[in-house]
Amino acid sequence: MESESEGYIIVTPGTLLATSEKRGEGTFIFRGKTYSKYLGVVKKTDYKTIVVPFNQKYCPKRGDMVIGQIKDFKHPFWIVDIFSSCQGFLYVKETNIRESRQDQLMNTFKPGSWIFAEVSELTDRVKLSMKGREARILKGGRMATVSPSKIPRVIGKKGSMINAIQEKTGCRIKTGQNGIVWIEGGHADLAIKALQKIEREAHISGLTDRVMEMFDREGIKEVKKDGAD
Amino acid sequence: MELIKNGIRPDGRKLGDLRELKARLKVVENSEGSAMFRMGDTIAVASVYGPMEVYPAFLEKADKAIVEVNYQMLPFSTDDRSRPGFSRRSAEISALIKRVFESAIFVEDMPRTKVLINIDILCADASTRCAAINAASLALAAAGIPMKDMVASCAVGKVDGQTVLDVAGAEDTEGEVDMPIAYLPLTEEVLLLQMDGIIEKEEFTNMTAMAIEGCRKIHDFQKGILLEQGTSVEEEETQ
Repeated sequence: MESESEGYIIVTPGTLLATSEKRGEGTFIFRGKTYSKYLGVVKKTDYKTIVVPFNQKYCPKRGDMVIGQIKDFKHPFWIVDIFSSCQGFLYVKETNIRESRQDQLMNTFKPGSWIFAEVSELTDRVKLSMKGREARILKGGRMATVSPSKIPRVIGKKGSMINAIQEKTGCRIKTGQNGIVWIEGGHADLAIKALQKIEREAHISGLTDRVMEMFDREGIKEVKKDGAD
Repeated sequence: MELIKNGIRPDGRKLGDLRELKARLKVVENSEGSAMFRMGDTIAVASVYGPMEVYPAFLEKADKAIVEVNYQMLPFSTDDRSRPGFSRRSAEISALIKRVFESAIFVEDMPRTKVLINIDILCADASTRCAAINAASLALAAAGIPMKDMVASCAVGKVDGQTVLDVAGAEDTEGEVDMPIAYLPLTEEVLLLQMDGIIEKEEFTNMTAMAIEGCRKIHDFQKGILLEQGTSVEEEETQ
């Protein structure tokens, strides 16, 4: 069974997608036919059929930027919660810290602090790196969670959506591929509202326009409130 | 005592009718996916967590995910208060449901992880394991766990010498045979089949066919619920 409106198709697990064998993520082949694995949205191209699940835990990929929380220090690495099915490991040599004493290292990243790091290696454990230019420690601000499959929509085409939100709300925003969004300064509440709207309506086209519309509406309210005070 | 009169059962259903079905997604906020499934007076709530790391680590499988199921009847679910906590019966049904979902989920897609399914029976009126399986497959789909198809499950029974679908109430206690079935419509596999009582071989074939018919109806209902409620957050939460 599938439901179709505004050009996107929603499928449930076990829905027939094609009567031939097609490659693609989120699909499987049974007796020469292609079926969906997830509850999600179908994207069809000439060569591939992909099902993007609505809601899924983050699966680490090499090169992804993720936001994580330090949980523990066990020399020579920190254990990082990256909100995935496995923990992240940040080795001391993968950071720019030139400190060899363990008691000093323990205090550089305290448990509970947040970092923005890159997934550098996927072996038996997920290794993170903070040597990249973008990597940093996130101090202050607020965290919001979005479903990892919707992060591309939060960023938008060439960052159009994220830039627009930053401009309108005056926040600094960093998005991790694992679905964690860091918001600092500005109208953080408004930014979170926008994220919630994206989360809800990610599969419907014309998203940026609708988010902008919402800002215009909410923005006016905000001004009125200020005036009343 | 005669339970079936002129093909009408104690609760007014015909022989091949299911009870009224109701379902709701997103009932447990903190879980990855959750669902409530109701068949008549039997209510099951399932919540799915994971895929997550396996503790203790020796249970971990290098090539596939492990599935853990905790089935539990809450103290107020039956007429007499049932003792809370795990019993022999709950351990048995948990193991049973675990095997059902191990063959429906793509466990090889998520090596070294665990999928945890917690099922609570809020109200029990026959075929709780069927309601539990139906609720769990909705919750798994909502949680984004890769699976072949939703597993549908329902029971058939023999009451007063007649085959009835979806046994309930007095039929369960007075009836001769009770047979729950879990069915995977896509591959046409029967994942669970239990039976108590004695029947002829021919009757058994008929009952299986009837149960599969019922499972198909439930499967259609599950799909409808997922498309209706699983696609976006309901409007209530925004206001």
